[in-house]
Amino acid sequence: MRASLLLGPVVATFFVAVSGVAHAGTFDVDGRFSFDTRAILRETFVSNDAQKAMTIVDAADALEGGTLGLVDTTSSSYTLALNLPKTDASYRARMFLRKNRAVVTLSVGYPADGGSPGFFARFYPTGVVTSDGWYEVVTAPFSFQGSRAATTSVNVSGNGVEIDAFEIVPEGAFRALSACIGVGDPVCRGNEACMSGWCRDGNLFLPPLPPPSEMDDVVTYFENRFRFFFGGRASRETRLPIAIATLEEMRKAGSGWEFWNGLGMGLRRLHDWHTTINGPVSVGGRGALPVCFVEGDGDLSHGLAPADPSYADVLVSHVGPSKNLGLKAGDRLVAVNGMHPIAFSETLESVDWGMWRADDPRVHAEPVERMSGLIRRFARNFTIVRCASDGTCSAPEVIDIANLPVDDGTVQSPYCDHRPGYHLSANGPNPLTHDTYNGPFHGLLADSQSGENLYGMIWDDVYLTDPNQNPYAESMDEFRAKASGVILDHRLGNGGTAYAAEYLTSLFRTPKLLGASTGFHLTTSLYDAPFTPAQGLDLFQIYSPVGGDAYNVGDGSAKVNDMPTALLLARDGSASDWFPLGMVDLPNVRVFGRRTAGAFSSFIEFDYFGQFSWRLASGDLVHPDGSTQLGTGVPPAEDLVPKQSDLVQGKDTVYLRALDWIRTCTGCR
Amino acid sequence: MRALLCMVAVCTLVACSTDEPKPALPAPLPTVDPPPAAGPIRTVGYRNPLGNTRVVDNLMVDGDFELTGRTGQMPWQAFDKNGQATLTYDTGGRCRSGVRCGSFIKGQNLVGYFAVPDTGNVVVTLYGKPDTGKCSDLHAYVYDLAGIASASSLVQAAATPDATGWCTYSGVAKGLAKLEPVIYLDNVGGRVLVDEAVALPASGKLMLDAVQPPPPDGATLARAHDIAEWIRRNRPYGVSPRHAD
Repeated sequence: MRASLLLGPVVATFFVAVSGVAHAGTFDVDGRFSFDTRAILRETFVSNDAQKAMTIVDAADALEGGTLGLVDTTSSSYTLALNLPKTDASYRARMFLRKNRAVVTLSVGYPADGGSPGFFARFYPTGVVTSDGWYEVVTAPFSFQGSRAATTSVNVSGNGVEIDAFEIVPEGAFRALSACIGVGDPVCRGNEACMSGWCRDGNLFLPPLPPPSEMDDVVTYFENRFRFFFGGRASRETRLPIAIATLEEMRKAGSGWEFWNGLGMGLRRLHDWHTTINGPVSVGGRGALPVCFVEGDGDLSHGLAPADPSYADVLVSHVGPSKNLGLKAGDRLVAVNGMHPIAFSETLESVDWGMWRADDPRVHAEPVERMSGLIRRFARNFTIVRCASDGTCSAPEVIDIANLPVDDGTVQSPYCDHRPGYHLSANGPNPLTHDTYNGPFHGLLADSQSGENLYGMIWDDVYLTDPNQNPYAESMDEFRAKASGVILDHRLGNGGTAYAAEYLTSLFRTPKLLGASTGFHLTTSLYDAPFTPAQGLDLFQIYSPVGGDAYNVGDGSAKVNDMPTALLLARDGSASDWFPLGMVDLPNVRVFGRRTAGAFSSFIEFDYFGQFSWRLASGDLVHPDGSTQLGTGVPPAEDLVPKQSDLVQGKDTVYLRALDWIRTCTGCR
Repeated sequence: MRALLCMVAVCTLVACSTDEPKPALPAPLPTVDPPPAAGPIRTVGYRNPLGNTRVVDNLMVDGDFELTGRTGQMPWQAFDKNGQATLTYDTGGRCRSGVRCGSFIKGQNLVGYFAVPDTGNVVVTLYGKPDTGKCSDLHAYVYDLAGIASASSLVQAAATPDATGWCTYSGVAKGLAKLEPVIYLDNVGGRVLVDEAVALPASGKLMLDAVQPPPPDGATLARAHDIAEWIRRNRPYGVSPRHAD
């Protein structure tokens, strides 16, 4: 279906004054809808070009024309191609929806002519509603370069949602995107942010600015969501006041971007592993950089670039097969925009909607995992030191983002799983794609000598709810029957469920009640200072008898006497915090690698229009002595990172140390 | 401690003695009235698309269903006999606040999370719009997912809806500090729209009337217990795989 260009204006007869928010069309005194008189394009949904995702339905209460579109996009979305005038102008798109929420996005693409990139604009509700269930959604005004042979479409995704009365109306002044060099570039205006080299109109990603009559209430309402439901003891004490102060700034916002990015910054400044935002602000990076980084020890290159006292070095772990700048395992990312890469990531709070931080402030694996995307979106340049397998390194080399290889759609980016290598003798993850998300993988270690019976498991998710559908049972059964030593490679730990964390400890330790989840934070000042051990003990006594909230690790049948077990960690949080917590301080188990994120809570999800959703961490883990755990990651027995001198020779430092330990440990059998 | 925590009770607002201060309820929102039978085909109005944010200190996570998705660990969760179900909605002026409301069908249960202060009582109010016109289609309770506090009923203000089609359910919840309070809804009739749930600290001293609303029956409690078990066992502690960019 292609929306038609109007030949003349439709005469509206009545204007319903609803607020200062822009609204579509007009309704007469009898509630009959008419398109906006200024509309240059309209769609009444009277026919369909055989897209299965949308059917035309006769409906007496359609807004316009006696028919409407019924969108049901279980397998595909509905796309409406648009034919806008071939002139540069600013427009706003509008439509009405009913019966459900839909994700509606207007996309504009331009040819590769050296000009500004294409963009998309999300539709959000204005608050205009009708008694028969319709509600209006609009984009912010968008500047469209019709002179550049643009392609334009609207995409609708939803289930059982009715759509009608789509129109595009001239609004605002055209303004071409400006090029920019990085975050904070003053060339970008208040409603813009510099992303991937261009000042992006943030209003296009986000809901409109609330009207003045509602703005203060909305800010206070969101502040109270934070106050009432966020976090546990430590995160409320250290981060909540900072986040609330950030939300206060929303009251001064002059645009939708400034307002909603204020909410985003408030969430990001909670510095919480679970508290993340999905969806609304998404800009592709420039060029190709199919490279995965890890925290490491650049031992070969400290003479060329000294180590930072605050952060670990950042090394290349593995790369995609092409367009990788010739980078290879062991090369070092010394700086981004002249800063340590992790410090650079921490400067992006105002623009990086994917920002992801651990609760424990000593933990930085998360931004390192995201580094390639951060560079492609937000950096001007980055500095690398290349090192060869003979241990020699070249002088630091600054690479401008403009010199990244072109991403022509063929780039294969491996999964960044913090594992430089795999060590199973068979059936391990794909060493090119690092597809560990398809695990668990398990079996005999390639290094196991005759009679050693050393086994391993590689997996990312700690997820189990039904004991009859247990993805780990086969591994555990194999270890119980055959293993004389085990290496558990959980260097990427996405968490899952507490029940899975309990189960995974059951082969390796005897039973113990370690603590209890306090559920969501649902008592408004539960952890407010001064929070005493006696109060914590009170919580423990409440929740430890509750099935599913007590954290009971181990099992009476655990194999503790003849199977030393090494647990490898690098980027682990939530249930992947809980599991290691159950594996420390045991003679037969030793943890190698990095401290976990300290994300000992669950979260509440919030979901708004435009794929704008976020999570707010809620709850804590309380110990039998009344102390709380959120914010403190599980420390490894040996804090280890990959060494540059090992990586350049294809060696996996952390694994090799673990292998040595299970072979030579004393008191572990 | 446990005995103390079990001292949860609810009384209807109308059942409380008349000399005590009534808890403050939120001011009504402007409604989008249904058109008269022989009048306009529809009426048009404006709603804050985020819901009734004028009640800034609403203790419900999301009383208006504006920030709630269809599945996941959302402010409201729907359940059927198989576990968590997909929450469905209605929209626009059919709802009482905002642009969305819960559309709640027979055979499902709804759970809506709210917070409580350290001390004191909480007034809970929500609105239901039954397709059948019978307010008794919706049974509303305050329940503790931790299973420690006793469940209690909210009471409908009248047997039939008001002129706009909405029924009011309200009550006062006590003794839920440190626990996991939720509004728990049971549908025994046709479809019911649910919207504008508000939980607020009760002002003044509330006294329980001798006439208590009937407590939930055994079957209801057993069902609520099963749902609580499901929630605890499935509570997510983690991120989606491939979180990174």
